[in-house]
Amino acid sequence: MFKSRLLFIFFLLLFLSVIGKLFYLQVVNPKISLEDLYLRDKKIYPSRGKILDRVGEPLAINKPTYLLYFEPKKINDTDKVIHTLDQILNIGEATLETKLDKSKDWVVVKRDIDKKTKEKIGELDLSGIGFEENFKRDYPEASLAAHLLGFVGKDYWGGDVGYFGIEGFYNKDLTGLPGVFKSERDLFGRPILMGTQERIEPENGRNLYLTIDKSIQSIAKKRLLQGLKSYQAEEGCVLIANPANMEILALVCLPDFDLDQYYLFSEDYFKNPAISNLYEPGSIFKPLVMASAIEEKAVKPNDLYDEKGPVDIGEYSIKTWNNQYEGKINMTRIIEKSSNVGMVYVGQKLGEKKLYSYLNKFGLGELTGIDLQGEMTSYLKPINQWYPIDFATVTFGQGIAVTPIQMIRAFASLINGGKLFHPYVMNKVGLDNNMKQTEPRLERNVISGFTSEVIKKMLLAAVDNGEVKWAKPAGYQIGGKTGTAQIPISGHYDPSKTIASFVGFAPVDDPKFICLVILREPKTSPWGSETAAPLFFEIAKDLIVYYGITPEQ
Amino acid sequence: MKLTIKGLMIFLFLLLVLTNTYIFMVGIKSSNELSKMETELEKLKQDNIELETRLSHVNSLEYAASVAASLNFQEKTVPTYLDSLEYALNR
Repeated sequence: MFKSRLLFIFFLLLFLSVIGKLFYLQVVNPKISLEDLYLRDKKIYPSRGKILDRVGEPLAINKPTYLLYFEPKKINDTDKVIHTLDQILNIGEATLETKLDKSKDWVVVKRDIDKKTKEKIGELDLSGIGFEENFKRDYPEASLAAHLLGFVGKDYWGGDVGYFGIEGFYNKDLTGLPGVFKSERDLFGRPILMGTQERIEPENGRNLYLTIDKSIQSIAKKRLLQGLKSYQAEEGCVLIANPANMEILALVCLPDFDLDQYYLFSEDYFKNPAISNLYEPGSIFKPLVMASAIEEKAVKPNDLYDEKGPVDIGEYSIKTWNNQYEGKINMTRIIEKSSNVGMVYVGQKLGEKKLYSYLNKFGLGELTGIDLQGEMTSYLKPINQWYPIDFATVTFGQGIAVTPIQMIRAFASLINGGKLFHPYVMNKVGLDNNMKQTEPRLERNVISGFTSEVIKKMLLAAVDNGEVKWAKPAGYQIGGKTGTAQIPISGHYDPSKTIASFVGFAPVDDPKFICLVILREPKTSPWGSETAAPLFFEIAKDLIVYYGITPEQ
Repeated sequence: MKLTIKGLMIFLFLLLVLTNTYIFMVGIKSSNELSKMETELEKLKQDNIELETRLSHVNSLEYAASVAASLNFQEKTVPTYLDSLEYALNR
């Protein structure tokens, strides 16, 4: 009897201990469950979408890198780990010692380690260290399109986020969605076949095909670099677009930054001057006003204007750039010789209200809607706040601020039959065969096809009969306009500091490209005709060869 | 009769033990293979990405420029622009 009672008590205690343990696992500390012990739950990171040019040549792709981490509590020989890693990574024994905090479970040692280094460390078989696989942006063309692409940095939680340019604007498309891998494993890390084996594939980021042509971008950057050196300019931008639909073919501004080591540069370098910097366009603005006046039938190309001398507007006196006056000249000649006083006349014929209305129609007070992060716009003040001098100076591009992208967009509408398009840089987006094509977006018609043809002929004449003879390729019809705007400093214009520009297109009959060149503070000459224009013609020659455009004349 | 049932039970028991052991062994073998394949798949993926990266670099204008510079092949062919062209007009 005693024996059976003893056996009963023994089994009772055994069952109570089992129940007690189950109560602890399921109620007191439910996190520690068998599932947690054996189920491995891994997040599968999607790879970031690639950025390719219009023919599929890569501009930004991904390369595998590794993150080296410590598990300080699992490290047996601290000195050996520190000494060995320092020899390979060269990050300093003191730094490694600081990172090796025994109170922590997991510490990042170094990011972006390449495969060779990872394998070298792996061969050492050190305890308490491990690697996590990551991807890093890789740029086969280096910084060919730094401002355009933007870069991939980190967010607050250490995740990848695109900043500026394409990376910033299309961050959501490029990022993708992570997947999950759930797998029950035994103590040796082998999958348990009868257990949970679940894999939800990640949705990789979409690939972006740009409208940018890598070769044209390369031409633009090389020529701009040469131009900045030759004319000793502080900064410069070259924008090349297809005027028929405003797809951007090249966009480069210098100085730019190293995409691989963006963190070495200050924030000022990241801003894309082509879409974020406002400047006074100067004389390249004149064709816009002339086109408006022709469209409104306020003037005709052969109407005569008597260029007698300076024009007084209130207390201000407006002169031509060289203070020389030709007497009776027609409208085409006003554009050819870039006459400020002539443009004041055209503005007066057009009328203040219509002039203001056309500034709006050309999209000067609004964002162009280009698909790049960081676009800025100027504020076009209400018409009742304009003084007579404002209406006069705006006719020759002073007293109004625009961004280069606004300027080239408005100018493109002059030569494409009067259509104002939204500029864009993304040609198509998607994965493999599931691509979504971007359609050109027409904002509005600004001028008629007839006015467009008239203004194209004026711009052709401006190149052929302008004040300066440029080395333009013989046999080709190229239209364009120079611009020189003084830079306002403390409320006054400094005559020695200018923004020189040239906007041109070719061939005149059916323009294949429009190109805007801007040089800030050139030292060799302040004039656009002697700096930006020659640079434009160098680019135009390259583009004519690249496109295989045959001579017209 | 009782002996036959007992023998059958022992046989069944042994069969179950052996089957279980066999399934266990097969399971471990398959798990090992699965683990190995996972590692190889991961390695192939890595190699693929790495090759793609290398290919992109070799195909880049940057690389072409650096090779051209190393071969001292930097002069660009200058096209001849015709002054008074009287043929091959495009209109």
